[in-house]
Amino acid sequence: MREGNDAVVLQGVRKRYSRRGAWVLGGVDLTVRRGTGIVVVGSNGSGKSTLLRLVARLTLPTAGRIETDSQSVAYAPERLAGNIRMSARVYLAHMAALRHLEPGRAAPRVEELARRFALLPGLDEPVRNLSKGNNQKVALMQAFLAPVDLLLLDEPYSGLDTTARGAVSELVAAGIDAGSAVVLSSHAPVDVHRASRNLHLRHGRLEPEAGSAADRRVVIRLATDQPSARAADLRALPGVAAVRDLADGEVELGASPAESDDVLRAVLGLGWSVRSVRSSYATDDERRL
Amino acid sequence: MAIVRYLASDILRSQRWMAAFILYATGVLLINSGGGTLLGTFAAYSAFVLIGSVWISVVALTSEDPTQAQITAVTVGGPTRLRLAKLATAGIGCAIVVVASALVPLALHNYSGPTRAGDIGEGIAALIVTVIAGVAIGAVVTRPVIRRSGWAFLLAAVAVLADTLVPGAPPTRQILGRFSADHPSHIGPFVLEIVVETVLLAAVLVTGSTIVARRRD
Repeated sequence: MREGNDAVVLQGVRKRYSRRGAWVLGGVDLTVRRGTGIVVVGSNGSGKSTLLRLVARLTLPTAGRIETDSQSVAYAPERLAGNIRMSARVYLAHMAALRHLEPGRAAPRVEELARRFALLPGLDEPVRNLSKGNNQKVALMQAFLAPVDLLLLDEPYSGLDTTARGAVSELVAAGIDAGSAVVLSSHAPVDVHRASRNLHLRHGRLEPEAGSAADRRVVIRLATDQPSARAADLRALPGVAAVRDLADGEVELGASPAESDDVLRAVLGLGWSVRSVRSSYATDDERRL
Repeated sequence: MAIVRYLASDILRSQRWMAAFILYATGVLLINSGGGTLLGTFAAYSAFVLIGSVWISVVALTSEDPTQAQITAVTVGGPTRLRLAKLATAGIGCAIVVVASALVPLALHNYSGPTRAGDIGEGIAALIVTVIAGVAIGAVVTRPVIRRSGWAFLLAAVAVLADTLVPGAPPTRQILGRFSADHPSHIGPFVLEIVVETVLLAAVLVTGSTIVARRRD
């Protein structure tokens, strides 16, 4: 049952495209609250796009229920149509008008988005003439023209250049801050916002908490030339979730983000040097532990 | 209506409406080389208007690429709302054809007999009712109701031929039969009857095709 702050609730949603076809989704339960984000993580063909199309009400579930009261929804598919004959500027102006954005506000917004996404060669090129990446940028730009209750992005990071990926991250985070509910799909876990969580879509079902905040790790790669520094001591440090021996005497340890500063200070005190620090997620083995 | 402006802009750029325009222009040439009464001329126009309106509605419903249509559908509030907007856009396009079909015979005056206001009114009503039938046929013979374009084209051709040739088929065959008679009588009640009949039939076809389309999305 949908509650006050819930933007979308899916209950036992199953989907297959023909009567005897395989189940693409085998019973999905999902609640997306306003001001939060869900990243649906899955491999090719796992049903991510189907799930987003169901939430967008573009297709009906074979079984189960989808409840939403979102008045305004924006959707950016994985790829845009190749044969839109309008220029990007004209197409986006029409999309802005459909979102009830006044022309006086729409034109500057389109210009701003084109700049943030680094659209090339520019807004006046017909969409059908744009490269695959720039075509995808237009698909994403139309989703960010105006604030919406529900924002749905199908693999927004795949195939984009660094600038556009950064723009997507900033705009998604701003949308969540403004109260939008965001659902996006990705091949790998993505940290889009502190109020977002990753859910894995496997065998037609969403696995809760996988890749969530509790699974985030700061992975620190260490090396040492001091004989007194031992990997066994690292395992005993508070906040260290796992230690792995690498080649050439280097080790890699995983720490929870909340304790990573303390862990870094501690390993430096033990005579280790930091080679690299990166963000990642707990492995299945760590999760079982 | 922002959605109609967008769809019209997309359709005009597609140039797929040009074939319908050329066919219609050919029809105008053929009709005006004939003669006959004003009502008979309107009846002949309605046959070409039927073909044109089926074509225009098919173009309106399929002009957008499926992916492009998904974005538009979500933006306007759902696939059903978009489908109805596309049919409304087709109706507006057909209204232009109706206006042309009402004005051209009067301007060229290639018909015999007097020009009665009643005949003009009944002729325009016949054109409008033919457009309603054409748009309804177009709604049935397009994706996703008929998924394969070859079958859709064949079904559209059969529907147009049946409506024009099968005795008693509403509205075109009936209009052709009554309006082209040597001494047409009781045209007013006939037009009212055919309007009601066609509107009901079109409502069933559009509603049914919209429900099927939603289930097949």
